[in-house]
Amino acid sequence: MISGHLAQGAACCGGSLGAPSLISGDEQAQLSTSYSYNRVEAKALGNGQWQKLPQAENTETLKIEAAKIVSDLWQLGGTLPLVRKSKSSLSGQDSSGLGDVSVDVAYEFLPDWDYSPWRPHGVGFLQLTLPTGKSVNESTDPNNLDSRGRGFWALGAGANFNKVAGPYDFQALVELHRSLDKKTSDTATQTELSLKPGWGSSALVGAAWSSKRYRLGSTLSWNYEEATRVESSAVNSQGQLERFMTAGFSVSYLVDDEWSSSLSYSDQTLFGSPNNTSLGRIAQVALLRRWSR
Amino acid sequence: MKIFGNSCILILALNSFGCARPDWVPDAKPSPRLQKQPSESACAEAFNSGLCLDWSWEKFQTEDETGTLTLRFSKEGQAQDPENQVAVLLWMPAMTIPHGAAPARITRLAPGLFRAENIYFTMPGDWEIHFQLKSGSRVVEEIIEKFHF
Repeated sequence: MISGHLAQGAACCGGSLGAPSLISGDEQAQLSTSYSYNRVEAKALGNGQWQKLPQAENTETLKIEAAKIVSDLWQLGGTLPLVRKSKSSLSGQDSSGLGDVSVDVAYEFLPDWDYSPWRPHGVGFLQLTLPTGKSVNESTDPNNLDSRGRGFWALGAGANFNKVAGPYDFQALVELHRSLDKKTSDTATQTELSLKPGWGSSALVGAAWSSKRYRLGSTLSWNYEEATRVESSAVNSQGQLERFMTAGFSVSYLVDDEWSSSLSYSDQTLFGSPNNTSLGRIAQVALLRRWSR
Repeated sequence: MKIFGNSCILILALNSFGCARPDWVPDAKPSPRLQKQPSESACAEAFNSGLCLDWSWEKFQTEDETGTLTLRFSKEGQAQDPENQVAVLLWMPAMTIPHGAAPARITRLAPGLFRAENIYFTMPGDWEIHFQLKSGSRVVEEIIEKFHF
């Protein structure tokens, strides 16, 4: 099975937690690199209404993901994103740098050694996200273009299930995470802010059909993030929750047993009732190298 | 096997015919509050201390330029400087991570008359303009204007 490499939606101001890098097949290790282009032309407001942006915002992400089996059932992984954001206003500025790096440890709690006709293959994971990308409160750019991350340490846990049945394969992923409180120097208020984030979660279902070396896949993911409470000597705010759904389509090509590539398109304007988020359309190309066990 | 095939086709079909029903904001023009002109009333808005504030747009932001506000402070009809430092904060309270915009630059032009430059709303949505009187980093008193950009 070729793992789907769909771009995760990057919502406003750093977006939600990224998907972990997991080995879901019979590989010993895998390394992937992807380039994605996210164009945001509209925003879903807190009251559910949509509003076009005066100028489109573009985010390009070059992501390197790696995962390696360290024992029969355990694996380690990590994700390194490099982000470039641009906007045509105020003299066409752009900014690039490191996004939020994440590392994960995973345990194969439902191995598929006997190739069960019905039981899925299941991998549970813990994910730690590092605040390596500057947050929106720390941004010094008038368009917040240098805000490339959420700015919080975050710990997530979840499970990924997949099942191959003939030419079809299916995926389901659920994840829950909690960002940690922090204090930061805020550019806008020029004071120290106390940021108290809440819980967040995401879920994804997907299906694909393979024929010879090609695989046609589709996913639907749901993201939810509780509001972050802000307190300082200059301003206090309760914040508002964020939610959005992302539909994804992908075409993958299996070059040989070691290499595969994929093209994908993701869209946050198709489904659900998005709230308090940017609505992007994302194109992505990915290359994956695998080492068999 | 058939159920797997049908599920696959269902998910592909669902993704092909999206069901979001966007309720678009009808007009992206600045709200009337953003087109505010100087008030003719004696005390348009008052701080707790009784100091009056009248503010207006000298220049609203464009795609390539930041905006400028004019602030007039008075008491009992006479122009008067505030005792504390004047600050203007642009703030988006209803975000997942509430945040502000780049700090405004404040210049005193004459007794009771100030200019706030570098006013730039980074994105559409519900904003607040906080007209603050500060002592160091502490806000002594403020007037908050809410509007949709």
